[in-house]
Amino acid sequence: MDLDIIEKFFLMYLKENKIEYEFKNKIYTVKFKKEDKQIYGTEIKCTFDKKTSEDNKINLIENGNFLLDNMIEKYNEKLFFSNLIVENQKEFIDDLDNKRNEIGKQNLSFSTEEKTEEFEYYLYEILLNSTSGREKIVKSLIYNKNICVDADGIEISHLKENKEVLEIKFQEEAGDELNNIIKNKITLFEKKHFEKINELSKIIVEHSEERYKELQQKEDKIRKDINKLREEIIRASTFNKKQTLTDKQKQLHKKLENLINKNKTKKAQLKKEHDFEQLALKSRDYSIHAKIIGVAKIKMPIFYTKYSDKSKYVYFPALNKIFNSKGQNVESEKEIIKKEKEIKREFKTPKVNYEKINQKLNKKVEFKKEITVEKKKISKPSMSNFI
Amino acid sequence: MKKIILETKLEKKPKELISQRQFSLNVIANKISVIEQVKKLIGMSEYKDKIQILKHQTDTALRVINNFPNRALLSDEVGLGKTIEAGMIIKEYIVRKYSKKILILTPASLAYQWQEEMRSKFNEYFHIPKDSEDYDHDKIIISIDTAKTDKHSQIIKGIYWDLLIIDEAHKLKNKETLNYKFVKTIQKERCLMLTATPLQNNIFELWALVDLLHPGFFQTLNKFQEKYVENEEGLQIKNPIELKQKLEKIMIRNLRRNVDIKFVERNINTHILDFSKEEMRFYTEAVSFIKKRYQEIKKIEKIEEEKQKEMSEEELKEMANKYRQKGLLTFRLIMLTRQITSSIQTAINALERYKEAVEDDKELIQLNYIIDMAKDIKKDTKLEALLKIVKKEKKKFIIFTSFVHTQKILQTELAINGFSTVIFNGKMNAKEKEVAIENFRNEKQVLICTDAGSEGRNLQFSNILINFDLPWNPMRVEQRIGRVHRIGQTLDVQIHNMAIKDTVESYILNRLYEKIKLFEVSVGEMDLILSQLKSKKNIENEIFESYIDEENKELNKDLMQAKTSAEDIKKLDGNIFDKNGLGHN
Repeated sequence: MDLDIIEKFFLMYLKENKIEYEFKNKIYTVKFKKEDKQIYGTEIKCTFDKKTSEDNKINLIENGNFLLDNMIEKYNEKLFFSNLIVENQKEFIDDLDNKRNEIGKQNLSFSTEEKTEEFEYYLYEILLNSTSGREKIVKSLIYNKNICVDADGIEISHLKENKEVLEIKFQEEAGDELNNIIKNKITLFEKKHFEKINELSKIIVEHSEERYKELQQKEDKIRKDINKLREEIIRASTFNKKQTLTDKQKQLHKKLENLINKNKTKKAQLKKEHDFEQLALKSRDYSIHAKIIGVAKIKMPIFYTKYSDKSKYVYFPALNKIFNSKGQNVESEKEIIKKEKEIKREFKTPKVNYEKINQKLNKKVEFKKEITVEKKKISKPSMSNFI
Repeated sequence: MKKIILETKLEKKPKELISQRQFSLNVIANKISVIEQVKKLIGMSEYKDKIQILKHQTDTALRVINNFPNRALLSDEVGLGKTIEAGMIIKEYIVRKYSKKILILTPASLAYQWQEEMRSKFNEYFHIPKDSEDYDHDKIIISIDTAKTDKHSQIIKGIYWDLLIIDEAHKLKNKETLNYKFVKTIQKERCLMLTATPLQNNIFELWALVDLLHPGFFQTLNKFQEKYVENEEGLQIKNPIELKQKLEKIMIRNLRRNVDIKFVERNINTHILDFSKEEMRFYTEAVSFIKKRYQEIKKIEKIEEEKQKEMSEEELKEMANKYRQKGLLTFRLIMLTRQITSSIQTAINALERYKEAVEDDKELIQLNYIIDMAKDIKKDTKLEALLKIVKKEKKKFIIFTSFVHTQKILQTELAINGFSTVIFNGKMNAKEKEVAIENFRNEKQVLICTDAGSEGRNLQFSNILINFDLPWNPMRVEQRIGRVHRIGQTLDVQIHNMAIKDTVESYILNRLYEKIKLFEVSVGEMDLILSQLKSKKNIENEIFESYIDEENKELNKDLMQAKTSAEDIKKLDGNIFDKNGLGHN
């Protein structure tokens, strides 16, 4: 967050609450009133400059600082209503000329109409929550029956209290417009959510593959031992030795058979677990929760510009922004289109490729065939084999 | 799947309009409060006046919320407030709207305690479900044993939980158990597992816990073994730094020596009392009766075990019924043995009730004789000794007894002697319990408490505890002491144990508790020692058998072995978590 805004808030807070302070060498010495002394003490020295804070060992005002947090808390936890006005100023016309350059339609002819209209201002808190994390954003919009635009960056210094008594009607339709305003944010958020799911899904796949591989390796270890014994049987010099080794090999075959049966259940269980985890991951949702935290009626001047190609634009001096007829900010219009193209929202569950693992393992070890052959030879030992 | 809730309607109509400056302050305050990291627990305003929050608890909650992958193993040593940490995280998730559907799985004995703690400390109302409709509530607490029954498990598995909390998670260390398999199938967005003893036998248990929490985090058991385990028993580790770094991403273990808490001392005063001649005569007769009854039960059991080999299915069923009855009888004998040393009045009451289960005339005559003997006793040695101990006491103190009957007697006697008292037991409802504790805190001098009602209560505003009768299960003693010897206690804790010489009480005190240094081991160690016991029997049964059957030395041996095994585990714990643990430094 911009430090200037925090400092602006800090000073505004002191003024509004009639708290005395001195400012010298980047250090604020704030003298608290009686009712605040219990919380802050008689006076607090603080600064917005990191170095000054370190050198003088005094409070650095930044997000998370106790003093700032308490100040914020006083103003950000209740619904507020206000009635404001933006008075017309000469420089608004000059600003409009600059903004027209951003549209880039210098060759076309245009006409501009100035109007003073009444708007509803809505400040929304939006909580986005997903696998990839949580985010809180605060968005504002101004709305009337003709136009609804993003009102972030409203120039507070332009606002004055409106002495006229206006009837404040709140427009529920403004809520529908919010969807459009935050669409871009949601799309990016969705993207992050699915990226995280894909990442977690990959871990689950790798984990399942490893566990499967380990089960398989136990079987292969016995196969290897059986093969080793086969060699030894062939090389055995006495009948007794051959017989002992054959018995041993028989036992290993039995062991392998049991293990294969046991692993069958384990592999099925493994697959079940894997599928469940993937399904659970897939069903992880993300949520968006928005609520109104502030409402104001603002009467303000706006400028409608109509070009010869029939395109229409509205300039809001209080926002220092120019919008097209859809309410899109001209500056960010192109950027949004670019970002939307980049976003891929498709999510596919990767699958454990058991066959591939089997192939890999068999290629490396290659025992299956030999064992079948050996089984035939060794299962019925006879003297003729050895003489 | 996505959930979008846009609250675009205003519930409140404007009453007061704010000025332009206030408008600006509101707009900026809301904008600058948008920070990526949660630096402040906004839910704290609701509980900071009810509980003393410690730095390590706030740090833990923030670390879990900010840095952990929606999964965390909270493994603080006992007494550092894991439940509080979990409560803080739950509260934060709720107020920040991260979690709505929340499930807490607990051991059966702790479900109500959790419910009470969440209500009284965090103002969050959790439901303990009885029927399927109860699952309409968002916040559920259920014992894991109930949860896995057919009636509940299908519903639980069918819900996608925003947050799952598993208390006493070390009970899930075995991958083959039904509990483990059940938990594995619960769909959850976030999961917190709580245990003070992540290591009870070997390091493989830690792997199993982490694998349940975050499958694949440590890869397979074999890979984990290759990388971090030195020996097959899993009691020695390698690459400790790497292991610790990895664990730090998913686990928090604050150690008592690393947190800013001054733990006070425990001063133990044991009062071994001599029964009067009449009392001892009564006691001997009563124990001899119990012994005889018990031997008879054993004899029948042995004969039936033999018969069992030739029995039909129906006969076996009938026998199973009988066994159940006998189990009950053995249990009653255990209770009787405990009650006859609690107080004479309690003994008479218990024996009178026991008569109802006796059919044999000879036995009835014997019982009546014992009861008459008790009724003739003029003085109650233990009660007199208690009055002597507390006579000059001006401070608040707590007396623990296992029996409601004894509780009543104590209340009357203490009132006669000029003490203001309040009672607390498991028969009272939540409201009555609250009132009782408040009365004790603000007004009354003595709290007379039974074990059943006191679990989870914070009574650290008193530092004197009297064990009028000693529970047989060492964990119960630990739980009693834990009420006063906990975070927030500023004075050394005085513990008075009362036991009668040459009875089961002194037997337990001298021959069992002394051996395992019950009153000296640090909090939490007792749980570790008991978990090492080889016998799967209930400890109270074991104590009873070893007391009744003098030749039975099994329990003694088992306890000593358990103590040695616990030492090995402590060493392993030290090697993994070293002096700083895995908490805040």
